[in-house]
Amino acid sequence: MLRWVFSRVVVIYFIIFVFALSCVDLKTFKMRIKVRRLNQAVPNFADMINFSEGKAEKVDWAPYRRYFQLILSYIPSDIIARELLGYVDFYSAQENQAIDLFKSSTTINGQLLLWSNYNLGVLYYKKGMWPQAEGYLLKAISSNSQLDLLMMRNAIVYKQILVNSAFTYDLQDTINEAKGGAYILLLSSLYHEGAYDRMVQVADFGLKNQHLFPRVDFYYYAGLGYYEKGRLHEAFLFFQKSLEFNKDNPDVYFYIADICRSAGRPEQARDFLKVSYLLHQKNDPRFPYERGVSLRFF
Amino acid sequence: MKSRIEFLYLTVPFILWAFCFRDFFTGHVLLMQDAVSYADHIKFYTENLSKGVFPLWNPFWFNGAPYDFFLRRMGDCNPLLLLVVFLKWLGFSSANAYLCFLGMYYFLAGWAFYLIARLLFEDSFFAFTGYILFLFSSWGSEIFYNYIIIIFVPIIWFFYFLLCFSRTPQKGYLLGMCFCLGIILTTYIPFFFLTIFAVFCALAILFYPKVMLDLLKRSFVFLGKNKIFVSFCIVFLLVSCIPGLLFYKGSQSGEFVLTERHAGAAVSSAVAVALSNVESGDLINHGFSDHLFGNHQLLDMGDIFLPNLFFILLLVATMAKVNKPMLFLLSNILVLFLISITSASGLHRFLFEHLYFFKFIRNIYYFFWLAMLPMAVLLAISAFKSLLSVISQSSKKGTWLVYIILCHVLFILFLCRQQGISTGAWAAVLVSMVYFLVYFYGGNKYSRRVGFILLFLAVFVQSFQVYGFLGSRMYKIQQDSDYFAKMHPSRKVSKLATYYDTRWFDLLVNNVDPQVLENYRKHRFILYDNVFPYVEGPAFFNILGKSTASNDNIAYVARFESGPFEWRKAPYSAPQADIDPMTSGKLTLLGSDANTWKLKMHLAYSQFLVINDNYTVDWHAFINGHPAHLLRANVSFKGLWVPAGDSVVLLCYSTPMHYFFHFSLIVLFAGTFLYLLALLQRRYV
Repeated sequence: MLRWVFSRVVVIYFIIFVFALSCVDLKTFKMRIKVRRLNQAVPNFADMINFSEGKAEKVDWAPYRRYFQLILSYIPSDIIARELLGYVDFYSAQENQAIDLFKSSTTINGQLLLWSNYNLGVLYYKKGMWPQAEGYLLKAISSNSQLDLLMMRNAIVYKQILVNSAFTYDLQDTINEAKGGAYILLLSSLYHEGAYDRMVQVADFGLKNQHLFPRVDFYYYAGLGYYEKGRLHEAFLFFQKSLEFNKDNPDVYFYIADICRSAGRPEQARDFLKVSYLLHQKNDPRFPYERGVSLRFF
Repeated sequence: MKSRIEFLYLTVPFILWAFCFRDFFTGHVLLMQDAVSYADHIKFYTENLSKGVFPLWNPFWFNGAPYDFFLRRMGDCNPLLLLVVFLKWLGFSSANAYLCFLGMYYFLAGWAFYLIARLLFEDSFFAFTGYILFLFSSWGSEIFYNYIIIIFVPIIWFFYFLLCFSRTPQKGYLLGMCFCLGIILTTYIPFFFLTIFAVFCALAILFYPKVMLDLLKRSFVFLGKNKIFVSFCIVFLLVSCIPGLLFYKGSQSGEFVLTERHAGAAVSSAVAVALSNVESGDLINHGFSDHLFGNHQLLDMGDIFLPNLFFILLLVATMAKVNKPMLFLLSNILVLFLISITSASGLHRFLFEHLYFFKFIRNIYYFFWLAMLPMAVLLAISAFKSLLSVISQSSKKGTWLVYIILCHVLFILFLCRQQGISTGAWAAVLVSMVYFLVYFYGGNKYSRRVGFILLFLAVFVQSFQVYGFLGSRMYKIQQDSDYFAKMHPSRKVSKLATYYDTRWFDLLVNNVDPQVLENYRKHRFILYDNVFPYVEGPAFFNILGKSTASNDNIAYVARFESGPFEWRKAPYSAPQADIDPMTSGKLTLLGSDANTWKLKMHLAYSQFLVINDNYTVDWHAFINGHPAHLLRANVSFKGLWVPAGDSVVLLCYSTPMHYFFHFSLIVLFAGTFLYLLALLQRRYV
């Protein structure tokens, strides 16, 4: 029987099999095929970068999904690919998958990571789930910026993003900006929860952190916290401080008007209300502050 | 009668193949990758040749570069290149003439493949099956994508003549081998052939020691009987080696560089490559087999595609008898595969370290197209022939029929597991099944006749659809690409990607602001009053950049290549150089071709003329018929002092002896080709 089999063409397949096992370094072979497929799948990150910065409205997410999914099929534990695929999934209307991916990439070796926690916070905030949003945003704030920076600078995917001509940003700045955004959403979440004491504490903590920006928001939220607590004097001072940096926020004028009214100055209150009304009419996209906060990957 | 039918076997599938690639042949889809530059080189070469000029210099290549590199790439002695000249003479446009040449060349490859298959299988039916499998494989798309067809045709014809000679030693076959070898030797990469041939010979000795010994004996007898003829062949081969050797010598001189290719190479020759560089050109990196069975809609240029019939034949032949030729072919494929996967096996590294010529092979995946794919098709046909032979001798035909149907069902199940299977692929399986049913029930003569049509249909229905997808996809990609936007004059110039240029121009590209260089290159001739010597260094390039940007009236000549009498500072001179001496009437271009410039100068006082065409030591200058000292000016260009008054400046590249040698080679190869045709004609008459 064996002799018969070995006299047939099937022996060729056997030879190829033995040859592959004995002469080819299969590990290198497989690894290099993976690298080739990954290289072929690298998308042009310009659209994704521009979308993240609000410079592009529509993006074909398919090449990004394919690429990140391919990375995860080879390296399922790749935290960066999970973060990025989560981002892409969210904007491809795959919210549940995005949440799962973000949740699986919030920590590395017990250390908190910024992007997934931040994105989860934003996601829950947008859904109006304040306690969940608060939890993740707190984690985002508490994450180690240096660790995130190190991971981004060393990850091949981020290197591909960074070399793209559309990427003209400083990584450290983007991390600080994201943390600033996390503070704002956290303050807003606390406001919605009615946790005004903590709101004031967080705003105060944010103001002490020199690296964060935009700092003007913290004055506004600190003022708001004091206002809700009924400590109108402190609230008035913080609102005034806020106006020093930005005179266009209609809400600040509204609250100042109310403080004036409470203080028995109806004329002044009327003037502030008028300004507030006029500014509201402009519908400035910068306000309210939480309005501009969205998911990010840098 | 027989030859007429064979002519139909060859031409009808080829015409239908050309129809499959109509998008490419009509220019609807443009040539891609290396095929573009080769088309340009051949166009430039044939245009010059038709004017009676042998181009040894290309003035259009990044301000001029020696043309020998391109001549070696295309194999300038190939008399079939004259077909392009002939077609253009008939009134074809350059593009159409080149596309016709490509098509014809591919046909030559297919023809040689058919002849080899017929020689091996001694049956036109199997030869035809092999021919259509080869013809409709993605080898066809390679001709529009890279240049390997140029080296493949002489290689495959060499093997045909070799096989013929091994059976019946004759003058025609020996000359055929020498002629093909001669063409291969005049290219700069004969090493692909050398490797394939060496592996083939080594394995032939291993598999057929007695046949090889016998062949050797018969060859010696033949050589003894035809001493004069053999001497001619040897001289022919020796002469064929000269252009390659001259090029090799030139590549060591440092006059031209291939920065990207040569990066990290341990050998001084500019065409050598580093081991790490080879990996990027190996089969793992280029063997795009992701669309072998499915998703043909996404097939790209360079992807591997083989008609389903190839796999079906290999599958149904599993239980056929294996024979020595099959194992021989398989061994060849496996050895070349080991070489082609570089770092995934130790063989390539060993060869790279111990065989000098391996240091010159970069795109090692070409072994797949040059040898592995044709051999794999031959292997499949050999197995198919063996299967039909086993069935015809078997008494249990019913069992074989069930087995073959089962194989087809298995293949269908396999296809079901793949994504994006086209209707053509299903149709191919169906037609293949019909063929086998006809084979079993149609009788020998009938099934053979119908077999030609059915097997062709099985290949064609699938390929027609697949290449339709490819054409549409490539058209879309080319339309979507921002190629034309990139060519817009307002674009910001990034660093020039030169691949191949002169050493000095490369230095300039790497040290001067790209935009400044781009503006400077727009002026062909510049007249200066002041000439300063320089020594290369960062400070100098900084000065040069500023000086060039503001068009200062100073030319710079290499300090150690010029004498103090050639440096001059005019006491009173205009602040800026004359960048348009033709308009000012100081310079008239009397004539120029690839290798010469003839200028008439009319100057009020002596001025330094810079011709922004690259300088190499092979350029010579004459003023009014007397030799003049040609200097390397502004780092990379040609410059010389022109006296006051009227004078004629002549710049020539290389020596008359060099041109005579090249023209002689063309005549020698064309003559040998005609002699070969005459010998082969005599054999068939």
